[in-house]
Amino acid sequence: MKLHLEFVLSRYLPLYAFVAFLAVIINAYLVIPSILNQIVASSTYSSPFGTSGPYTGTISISLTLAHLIFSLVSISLAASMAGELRSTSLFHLSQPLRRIEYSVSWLLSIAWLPSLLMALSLFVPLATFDPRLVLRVSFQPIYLRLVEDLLTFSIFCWAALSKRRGIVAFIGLFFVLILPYLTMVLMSLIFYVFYQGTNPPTLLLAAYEVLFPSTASTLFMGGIAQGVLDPMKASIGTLITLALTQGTYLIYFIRKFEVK
Amino acid sequence: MAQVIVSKNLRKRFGRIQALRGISFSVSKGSATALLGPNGAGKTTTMKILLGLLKPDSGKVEVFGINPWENGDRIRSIVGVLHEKPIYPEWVSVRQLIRYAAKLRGLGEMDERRAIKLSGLEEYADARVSSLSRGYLQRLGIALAILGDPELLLLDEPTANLDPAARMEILHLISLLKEELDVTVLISSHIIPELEMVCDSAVFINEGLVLDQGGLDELARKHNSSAIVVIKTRRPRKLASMLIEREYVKSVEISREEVKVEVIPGELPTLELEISRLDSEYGVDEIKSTLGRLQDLYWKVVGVAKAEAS
Repeated sequence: MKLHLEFVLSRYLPLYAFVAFLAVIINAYLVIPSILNQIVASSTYSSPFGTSGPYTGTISISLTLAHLIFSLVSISLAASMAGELRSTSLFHLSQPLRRIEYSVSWLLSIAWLPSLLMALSLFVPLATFDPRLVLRVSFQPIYLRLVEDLLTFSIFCWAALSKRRGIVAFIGLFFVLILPYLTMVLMSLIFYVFYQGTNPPTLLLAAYEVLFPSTASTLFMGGIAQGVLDPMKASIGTLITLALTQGTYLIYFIRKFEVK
Repeated sequence: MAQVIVSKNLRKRFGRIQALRGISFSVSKGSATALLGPNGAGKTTTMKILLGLLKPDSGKVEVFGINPWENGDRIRSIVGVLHEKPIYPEWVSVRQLIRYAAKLRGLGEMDERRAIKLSGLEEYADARVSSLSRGYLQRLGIALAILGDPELLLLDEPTANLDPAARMEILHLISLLKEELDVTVLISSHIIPELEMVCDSAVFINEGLVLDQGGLDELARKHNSSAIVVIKTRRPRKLASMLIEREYVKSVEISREEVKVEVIPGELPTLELEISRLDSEYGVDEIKSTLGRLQDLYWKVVGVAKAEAS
């Protein structure tokens, strides 16, 4: 796996480096004041070892920006994979390279690396703080964004199997920009039109919280709707869905994918 | 002789198209086998199944006793392949690409340099793949295929896009690998006279079915196929009257300074030996096969099948 991953990364490393640098700069500008506010707030309201503060406004903006930037990276990588599956995969898979190595290296490049770099770009500004102060900050929003993006980016790997860049771009932009918000609007419509605002569609809401734990916690916190699951509990469902998405992608690639 | 490739009743369908309809053939160790058939016969599909790139719908296939779909990476570590229309990553240099492929095979710089040298890519080793002409891309494919002395070479149209001199070089290289390293070769090409230079057996396929297979001599006898040789000589009449008395010669025709000889199946080497022995006596300038055994066989096996089908 190492060799093919190195080969893929040697092409996309400048892109990763540029985007990570950009994200770190943006996050430093946005996160540092936010963290300082959280530290001050947590010192005022809770115990010295409390882990959550009430101020999360700026970190949400920062997370959303980092999420958008790295979503574009992931979509672009998935489109590259789709292009490769139509062309140079014949060369790669004619070498003594196991299918698992090939598919895992793309999974790492499309899903894991952008997600981890996104999280890292938020943590880097924290390196400027005293670790004792940093430990007082809530990392829940970053964690929720990380698992949501891992799931979304893993879906892009599935889209890449279509071998069409256009499909990848459409699914990518749809999942990042439209679906999380469109689903919320549709659920609100169902709630008011079919249930006259009395009986909330709990199953749909729970599914939404599992698929988009970070978006849901931001929207629900803003009072747009009432969540039915604790965000951390919802994230367990996200992790299970993530394992299923990545597992089925790998199984499909190893057992079924043909190089035509 | 041990069988390197064994295919039994192999079937493969792509949507509505039945590419393979039950292909059965075998390739012996150390042989050079021509895989012959018209466009759409199933040659490329067969090659891809042998490499584990495509999964057959049914039937059995083994390469070195291994199922290619189940353990493709094991097969690909001892098989060199050149695809019909290869596409390589264009953003790397020739050397980087060969190095990557060599590392995947656990090979070092020595093997990398040898492959570059043997395929005639030394001048372009540091050029980007995107800058290579079609002919040099073909050479790159050859370099990748021969990396680390593979035990089996699968070559799909290896001389496509090459100029005549490069074609001869590649064919010479294939012959050399076969003779010196005992490499088994399965080679598909539309240029049949070239195949005759390196192949000793053939598998004829059409519309996803094997029409016939075997050693070239055996097939030539079976189909009563003859080779036609044109000999350029300063004494055509004398040569013709000598050859017509030979048992292995079917007919002789004279035109100006040329003698056209039709040789009975399997006796082409006998004629070539005799001509080389009598070269000075008859002033032979040139010998060329205009219609070789393989080409004649191709028309007899595939041509008849196509005519019957239509």
